[in-house]
Amino acid sequence: MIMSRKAIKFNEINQAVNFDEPIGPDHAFFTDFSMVRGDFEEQIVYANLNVDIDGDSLTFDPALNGLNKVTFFLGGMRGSGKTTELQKYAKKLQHTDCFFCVVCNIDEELDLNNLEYMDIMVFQLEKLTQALREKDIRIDEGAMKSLERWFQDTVEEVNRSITGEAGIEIGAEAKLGFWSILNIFGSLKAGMKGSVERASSVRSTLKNRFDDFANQFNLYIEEANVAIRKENLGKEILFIVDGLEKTMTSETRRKIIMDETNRIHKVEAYTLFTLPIELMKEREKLKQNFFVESFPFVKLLEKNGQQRIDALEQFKEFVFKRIDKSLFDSDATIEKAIHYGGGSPRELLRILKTATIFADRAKGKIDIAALDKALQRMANQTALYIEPAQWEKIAQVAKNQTAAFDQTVQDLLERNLLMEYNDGNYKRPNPLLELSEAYRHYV
Amino acid sequence: MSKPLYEELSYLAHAVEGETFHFIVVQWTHFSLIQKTKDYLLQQFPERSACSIHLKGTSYEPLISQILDQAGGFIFLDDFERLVDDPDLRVAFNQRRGKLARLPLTIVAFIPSGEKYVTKLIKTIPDWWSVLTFFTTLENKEEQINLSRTVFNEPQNTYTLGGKQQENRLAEIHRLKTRIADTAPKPKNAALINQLYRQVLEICETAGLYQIGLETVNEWLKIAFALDYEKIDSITFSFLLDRIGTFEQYLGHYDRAISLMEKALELDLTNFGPDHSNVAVRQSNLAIVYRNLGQYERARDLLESALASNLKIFGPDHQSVANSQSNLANVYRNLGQYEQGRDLLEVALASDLKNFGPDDPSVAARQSNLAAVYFDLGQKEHARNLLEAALATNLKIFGPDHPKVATVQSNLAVVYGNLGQYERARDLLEATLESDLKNFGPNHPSIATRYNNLAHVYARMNESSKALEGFEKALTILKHNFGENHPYVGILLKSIVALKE
Repeated sequence: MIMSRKAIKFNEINQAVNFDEPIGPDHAFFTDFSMVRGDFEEQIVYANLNVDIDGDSLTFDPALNGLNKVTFFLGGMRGSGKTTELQKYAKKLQHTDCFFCVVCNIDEELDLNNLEYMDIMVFQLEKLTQALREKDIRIDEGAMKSLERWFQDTVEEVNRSITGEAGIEIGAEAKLGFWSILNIFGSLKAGMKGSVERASSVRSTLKNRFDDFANQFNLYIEEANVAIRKENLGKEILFIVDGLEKTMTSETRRKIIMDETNRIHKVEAYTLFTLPIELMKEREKLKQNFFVESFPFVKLLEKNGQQRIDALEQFKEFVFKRIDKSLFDSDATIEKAIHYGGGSPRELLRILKTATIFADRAKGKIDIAALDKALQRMANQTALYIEPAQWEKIAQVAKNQTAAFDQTVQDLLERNLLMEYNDGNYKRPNPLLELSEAYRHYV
Repeated sequence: MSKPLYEELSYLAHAVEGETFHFIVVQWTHFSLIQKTKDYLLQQFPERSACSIHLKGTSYEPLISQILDQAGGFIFLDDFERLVDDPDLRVAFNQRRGKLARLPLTIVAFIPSGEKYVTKLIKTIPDWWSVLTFFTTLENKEEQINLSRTVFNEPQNTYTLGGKQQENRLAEIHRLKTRIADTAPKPKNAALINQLYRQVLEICETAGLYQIGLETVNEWLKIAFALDYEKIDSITFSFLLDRIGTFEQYLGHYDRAISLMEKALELDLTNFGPDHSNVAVRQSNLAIVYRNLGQYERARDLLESALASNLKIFGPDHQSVANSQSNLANVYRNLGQYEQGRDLLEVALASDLKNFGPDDPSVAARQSNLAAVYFDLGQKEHARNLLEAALATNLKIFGPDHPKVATVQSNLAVVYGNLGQYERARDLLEATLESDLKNFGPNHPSIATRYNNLAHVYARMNESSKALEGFEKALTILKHNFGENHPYVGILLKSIVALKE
């Protein structure tokens, strides 16, 4: 992957405001917003994962919490910085006395157009095995053989159910040796990315034997836990599964999380999932078995309209890590862009990217005129196709900074027309809307 | 027709002789006996008029006027038990007792067998009971000696741990137990020890090794306490109690199973509150034991509660809801409430079709359950069609030697047997037996079921020595697995006595 770098010249801005690139804590662009997210604190995540926090030290005690497995959903709006936040957690939690983190980015290796929970489980197993292999951490040999037999048998069953085409072939990478189970995981994963019949056969077979699949998964995790402790590489496996919200349809996302609740519940492993915004309405249902926390936008304004200087400064740092200060005509331009970003790092990057389009190349700067053009255009586009009932709700939120939850609120949140702060109890309309004619009419 | 049923019907015919008022209550053990009774009486008294009335959906006014309009002949009340639950109907019926009793009517009221309905009727319509002409319980010996509804197997989950052969499963149990022994019993290893034990239990369930399973789960409980799973707390404790209860149940120790599983349920109600999926699971497991004990009302109450919770948690189109509906339908079936069972299963099937499409084992499982209800309702062709569809699906997905295929084949054989197609039934059951022997070895309890079913077919084909051999093999396996006092042993002994007679 090509890593973006700070723009020193005008023509470098475009690559520097690319918002699809995950930013880990070691990246030059990384900006820690944890102190300016209102009520949300990262300690909430650590505490929910049963991590003991003592100053900067994070530790996990398997004797105390090895049995209290946690599935944690970090929900929040698109562009709020969840992926970056997850990378930060992975870095902080990964050490001898805490977790052995296995990061699974769904969008990198699975088919986002056609995805089910079974695919994610197989992917998790593959990533775990690859991580163990990389460090040469060997689990009990008998356990590994038993697992391999079971998965081999699963592939045979898949092949029995495929009638219209050739079955799945297990790769034969000889050098894998002890890790030859990776051949099977790879084949299952390839099967799920293949033709409709193949994908459906793999998934159906795994679902049909799900109780046993979950048992095998859970036993593997525990064998791996014992092995990493022995090698002093961590106390417990933690899966960090990101990218779910990038799957093609909201129906896919709903199916993966809500329809599969029973199955997810049977998997006993410390897991941190991102939760797509539209499923936050289901948090009460999910809370029956899992932990759910809302990850808000950065709070630039208090409810009473007072500006948060610390948040503004943090966003300036965020901008200046990507674009040299000399590429703006003034501080006021930067601050205006930050304001209309509404506390969403991604929204701010979009504004800057659009402003670059309208900027005068001869000047080689983003000036206030370019920014205004960009904001007006984005405002008009954002305000398109908002129905009268939705405008009414937007007006209500503009007045009260909150609204009782209903489907209209949900739809507005999904489209980023409303933005949430704190734990979700504080909402504001997307500031870009304020510039639209329709907003002036309705609100 | 078998002799006892014939005798009982002939007594009934005697009871209704003479064109005067008769009030007859017929308890039935099988739904088909309602039609048989009607056919028999009309054959004996062809000159009499007849009218069949379903109380379900009827209010008292049209009911009474329909009876009064008839003014003679037979009035068949097919679901008289509904009177118990419908106070309006009951009052109307009680109030008109004098008027009706003056007419030359023969009211034949059908109720399902069981103490419950009789005691409630005595209590709620004492006047009517006092003018009862004849009360009989009809047992369909013919159905029972051949293929009764009790031999229907409900489709089980697919268990695949430890491989397909019994010796491989035993080897895997040995490996897992060795691994447990080699793992230091320290709190930090508790999660690994738990998973290892869990797998041993799953394999014991698959392999029918219930005694080993029971010993293992008790051992697990001891280790859990030794490790001071203080934090695992009542959640793990309730899980373990539930598992011990399950194995006690397999071994026929129902009282012990109930006391453990009631405790597990109580703990989880405290742990999670009433509307939680864990509580629904405990309720469903407990309901299975009550059902095995014939305490269908308690089983029904538990399953209704589990279904209500699952509906609240997951909404109507979720698999958990369909499973709860299916479990409840099976109990309705036991209670003789076949229409209710059928309706629930139709809903569950529609939900599964929506969620999984037609070629899915969940759909096949629902079809198999639904076939059982249609079978009870006497719609055997419909039952056969459903089972043939389920079999085709399972064959496509699992291939011929899979236990799920065997289960559906066995059910289909029951239907063929009842349609008089004994050769087809025998062929299917022989194939099923062969498949299960391959999968489970000779001593698994499911093999006893297969021998038992096959013996019933042989008996019907007048191959008494083969039938006897089948029953005796089944008996040996059951005694080996469950001991002398298991209820199934008693049932088999009765079958052997009946065959010898």
